[in-house]
Parts: sequence; C-alpha cells; structure tokens
Amino acid sequence: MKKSFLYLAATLLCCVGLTGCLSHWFVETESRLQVENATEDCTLLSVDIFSMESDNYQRWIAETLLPGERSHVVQNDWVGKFTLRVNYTKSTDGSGETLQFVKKMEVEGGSLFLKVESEGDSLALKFR
Amino acid sequence: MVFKKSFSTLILTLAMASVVFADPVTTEDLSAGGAVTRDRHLKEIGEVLRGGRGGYFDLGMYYTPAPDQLPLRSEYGDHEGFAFRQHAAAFVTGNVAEHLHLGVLAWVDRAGWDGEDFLFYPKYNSFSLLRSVFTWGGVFSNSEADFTLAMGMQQQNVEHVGKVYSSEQDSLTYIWGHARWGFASAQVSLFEDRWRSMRFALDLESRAIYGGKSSGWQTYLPNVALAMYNTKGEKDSLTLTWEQNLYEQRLYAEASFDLREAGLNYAALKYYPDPSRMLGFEATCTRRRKLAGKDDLLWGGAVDLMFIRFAYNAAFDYRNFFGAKGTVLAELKFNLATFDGLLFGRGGAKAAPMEKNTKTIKNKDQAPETSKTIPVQTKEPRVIEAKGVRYEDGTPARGGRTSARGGR
Repeated sequence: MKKSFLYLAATLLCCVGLTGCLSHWFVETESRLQVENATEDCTLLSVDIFSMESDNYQRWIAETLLPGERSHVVQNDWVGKFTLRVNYTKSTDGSGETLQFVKKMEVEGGSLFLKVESEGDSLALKFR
Repeated sequence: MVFKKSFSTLILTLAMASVVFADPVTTEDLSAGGAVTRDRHLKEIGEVLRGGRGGYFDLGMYYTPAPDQLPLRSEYGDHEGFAFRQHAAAFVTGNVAEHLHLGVLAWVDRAGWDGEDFLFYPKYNSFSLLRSVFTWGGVFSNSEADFTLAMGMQQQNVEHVGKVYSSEQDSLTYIWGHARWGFASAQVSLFEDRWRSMRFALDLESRAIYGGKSSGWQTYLPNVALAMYNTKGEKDSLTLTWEQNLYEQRLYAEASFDLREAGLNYAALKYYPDPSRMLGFEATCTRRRKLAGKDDLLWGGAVDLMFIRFAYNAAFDYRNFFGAKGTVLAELKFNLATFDGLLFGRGGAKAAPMEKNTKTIKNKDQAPETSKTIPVQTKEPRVIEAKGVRYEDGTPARGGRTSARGGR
C-alpha cells in the first residue's frame, strides 16, 4: 500500500510538472491563418472575429483580396469557437457597397487555410 | 490489486467525463476573482485563528489537463485554454511569555485563465488573465483570556490582463484586521479609508480540540457568520452563513443566505468520517442567479481524500474557481492544522486519531492493566560453554602444548 501510494504520488507529480509540456505536443494554442479568395466576382476587404453580443470586432486579415488572390499568413491567439465576419464587395475591383458575411466556426488552431467561395448570392467559408 | 484496478478505472472515467462535459468560464467571473480570493483568505484565516495559536499549512492546485475542459467565454466566443488556481498558506506561532503567543501568517493564491498550462512559463496571450493575491499578517494571542488579535495586508497583483477583460489596476493593497474573544470574532477589510468587507462570527459549537466538550448538547450549537460587502454604488450585500452539527461532529449542514435578496446562496450536507476533517464528502446545491433570466439550482458534490479532491459542480468551486461547472475537477492538495501538538484538518472538531492511541489498545490486549507481574520466563536458561580455554602446564607459552586451538 505504501509503495503503491508512492508510485501514485510520483505519477501525479510528473503529470503536474509536465502537464504544459505534454499538452503542448498535441494542442495548438495559436492559429496561423491564410485566406484565399476563390470567388470569381467578389473582392474580400477583411476577415474579422466578430462579437455577436456587441458591435466589437477584432481584425485578423486586413488585406484586400481580389478574385484568386491569397493573403499573407497572420498568426493570432484565436483557438475555439468564434463568429467569423468577412467584409466583401460584389465587384472585382473593390468598389461598391460593403457587404458582410457572418458565420460561426470552430477555429482549431495550427496552420489554417480558409477558402472563401461564392455560393449563390452569398459566400461559403471552408477551412482546408 | 482489485483496489488498484478500480481506482485506475475511476481516474479514467473522471478524465473522460471531464472532457465530455465542459462549460466555459466567463470573463466577468475572472474579473471578479480577486475580490472572491481576498474574501476566502480572510474566511480561512478566521477559521485557523479559532484557537489563536498552533500552526497551519496548506498547498494545492487544480489539475485540469484538457484545453476544452474550462474554456473561456468572451464576447467573441469560446476560447480553448486552461483555468488554473494554485494556493499555499502557512501560519506559525511561538510562545513568547506565559500565555502569550506571537505568530505570523501568509496566504498566497495565484489564479486565472491562460492559453497554456505550464506551471512556471505562462503563455500570456490576448485572452489571458493571471492574478495573485498575497495575504500576510501578524498574530497576537493571550491564551488565558482566550483573546486573539491579528492584522496585516492583502496585496492583489495582476500579472497580465487580456483585451477582453475590464481594465484592472496592477497592484492594490488592502488592510485587514481580525479580533477574537472566546467564540466571537470580527473581521474587517479596508481599502484606503473605506471598508470593503466585514464579518462577524459566532463559533458556538464546542470543539474538543480547543478544550471544549467532545460530546453533548454544546457540540450541537451552530456556527453563525454574518458577512457584509461594500458593493460599489449599490446596496451593501449581506450574507449569513449557518453551519450546524447534525450527528457527532461528523455530519454537518451548511447554508448561506443572501439577506438583501432574501434568497439562498448555497446549501451543503457534509460528512466527515472522522471529526478531525482529514477526509470529507459533501453534497451541495448552489443557487445561480448570475445569468440573466436564470434562477436555477446547481447540484453537485465533492470528495476530499486528503491529498486529492474530486469535485463536480460543488458550491465551493462554483464560487472560488470562476464559476467552474459541468466538469469533474481534480485538485491536488494537502492541508494540516496543529494545536498544542495535535493534528487535524482546518475547521475540525477533534484531533486526528494518532498512532499513539493504537499502541495503547495493542498493549491492553496483551496484558490487562490489573496484572502488574512480569511473566515468568519459561524458556530454559541459555548455557554458556567455555571454548578456547588454554590449559598451561607450567612451561613457557611458546612451544607449549595447548589443549585447544583458537584461543587468543
């Protein structure tokens, strides 16, 4: 009993001491996002994390992407379930009225590639 | 072996359950964490200073291994990460003159939410909040008059505040005082020239550890505490806590009421296998009013196994661990209080059963107290035979004949 207790204590101590190291191996705590504009007739103005409770937002990708263009990779601390907002225009040169596309998505962390496609009158977001 | 197998199954089940059922903690609860911790420190100090002398030691931390066990709910969504709390406490006294005791105490607590759960290497990301509270003070006790006076300071320091929290000052200093005379005690916490909280307690229950009764009606008297909190701009909140021994100082009921809103805060039924409170089991019911439009009851419980504590929706963790619920919490912990050389758990009524007691019983079994005679030795006495004796025949030893070899 005494020996098994010692083993248990040693195991627990290892778990505690190494808990950060162990989880760090298979848990990504930041996201690196690249966005591709895969539409043919829309210009993406920005990609934000949008707050549904207020009008607050945090800009993630601040580049204007013409059809077929890819953004730079931007690293951020977003890991979890968030509402993504894509600001876009229905033109190939960024002119015209700014439209919003909002979708709740799970951001898993690590390297992410977001493909924005047109779907009917709206957009479709796909992590690839 | 059976124990080992069932124990590992239990651990595995708990680990699975903790990941499957997970509810997020909120930024509001994390922002309010400092005030909650300061209040808990003072409450614990009040319990430990019940006797005015002796000592106390506490060390512990929550172990929440999965990043989706306690996610953070901000206005943007649910962030994966780790809520954590590490705590330690120490209290020692020395006898400086007859009946006079001087002591020092320190309570440390580091808690918050972070993107990673390294113990000494925080992540400090945009949504982290890390805060520590350090309560220290000096204690003066007169054991003849049964009087204790303690005072000191509370330092609340913020390591890091992410962008989703309300702004917070780096460092705040509070002054606290505690006075006890017999079973009555009063506490006050001050910030600058304004009071933050006050607590008046009557520990009427007779406890053998402090020289009280070990049984009888005096042990069934309640422990009552009235706490007042100075809430900014609103009416001060008033909380009444009632602890009642139900059976032999092993079964207790505890309830806390909010007197301003005339409602229950929480109710708990606690069972300690021994009155020293080294082990404990509790079932609790918490009334949640924080969420708008929700006034529901949260049922939970906890098992305290001295070195580890498992809790699910327990009232203590709901209040002291940022409203953590929906997940099985494991807390690695150890605490021990001492009074006149006797050991017990904080708040205990009697000393822990020590090895000394067991020995007395063992001796009793072997020889009854009435027979003081030493039992006659029945074994044959050992016969010592001389070996290696040298017989001498008058001639010098050198070359002389010896009857036995091996002599010196």
